[in-house]
Amino acid sequence: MKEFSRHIVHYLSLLGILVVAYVGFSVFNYDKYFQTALSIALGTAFVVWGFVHHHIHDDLHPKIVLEYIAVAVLGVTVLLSVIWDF
Amino acid sequence: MLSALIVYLVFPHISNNHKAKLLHPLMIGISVAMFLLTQLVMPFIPRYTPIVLGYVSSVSPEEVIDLTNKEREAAGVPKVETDPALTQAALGKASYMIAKNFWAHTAPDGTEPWKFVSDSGYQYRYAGENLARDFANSESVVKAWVNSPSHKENLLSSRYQDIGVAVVKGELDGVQTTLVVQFFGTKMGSGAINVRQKETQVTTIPELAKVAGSAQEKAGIFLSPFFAKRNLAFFLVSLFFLVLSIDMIVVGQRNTARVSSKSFAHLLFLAMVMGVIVISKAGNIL
Repeated sequence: MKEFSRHIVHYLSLLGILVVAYVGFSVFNYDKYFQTALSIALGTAFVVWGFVHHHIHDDLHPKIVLEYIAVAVLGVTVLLSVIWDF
Repeated sequence: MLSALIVYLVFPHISNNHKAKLLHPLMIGISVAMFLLTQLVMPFIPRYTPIVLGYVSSVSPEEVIDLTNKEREAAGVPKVETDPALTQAALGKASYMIAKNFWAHTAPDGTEPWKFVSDSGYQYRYAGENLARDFANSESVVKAWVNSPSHKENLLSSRYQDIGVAVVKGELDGVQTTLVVQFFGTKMGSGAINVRQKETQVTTIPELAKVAGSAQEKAGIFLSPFFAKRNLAFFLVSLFFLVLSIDMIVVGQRNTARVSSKSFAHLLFLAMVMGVIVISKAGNIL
């Protein structure tokens, strides 16, 4: 929580991205192509958020970018697997 | 030995350079690869085990028609009447999809839905088709159609006067499935005679559909591919959520200085992914 309060604007923007994506998934639950595009956009937005956040704090490192990409790939893979259930 | 391995994989420790090994990109990549491997292996499970892949379903044509009419009534649109020829057309389309192993409005050989309507003797002025598969019950089928603008347009169109619904169990791509075909239509003025002629054939089609093989007829342990995949996905994300939480707490308490991404951001992202997994449901519409 200390991390959250220290960078409240950054985390609120991330929360905004996640909430919009979640609403998109629940509202457009019938549209698998939209959900697929949303999953990829979400993963990309997460990596970009990480990049910008660390760049602003002057601690951007290739290893950090790789970690964001890895977590994004995990999330997007899981989302696509439940979207395309056959 | 085992406890040392768990510490190495899950806890920030000097042995893993103060970051749980599971959180290293390579380990995340391996986990994703293993998850994808299980998806590839799943279709082959029935070949070597008594497990049958499929979906348990209690969809009934009468309920689908009833719920459709309730939706129309609520929208102020006149009810549609069950038409034997359209019912036959729906059974024909569903049986064709099972026989030709496809799931689409237009068959791979180019056969369009309207061919089944015309073949049944229903001479239509307007016709529409909604498809569904793998739903647990009639309510979820109609709800999914209502949630989709294009399907809802069919469902609530005042142009349609008749309806025919078929629910057929069979095997598609090695998975026991339940297909729902819903035809809407409005007759041309001269179609009545043809429709009556075809009414006698209606009783034979359900038997054909039954021959295609129902899930309940096959012996074995029934496993839903969707729920198996969903549970595995939830387990995988929960595992990383747990390890990230441990990482954030331990590193926060120790005040460890390291070059690393923000665990809190990852936790938020994975929490959202878990939320989507929770609200995901079996069943597809076309």
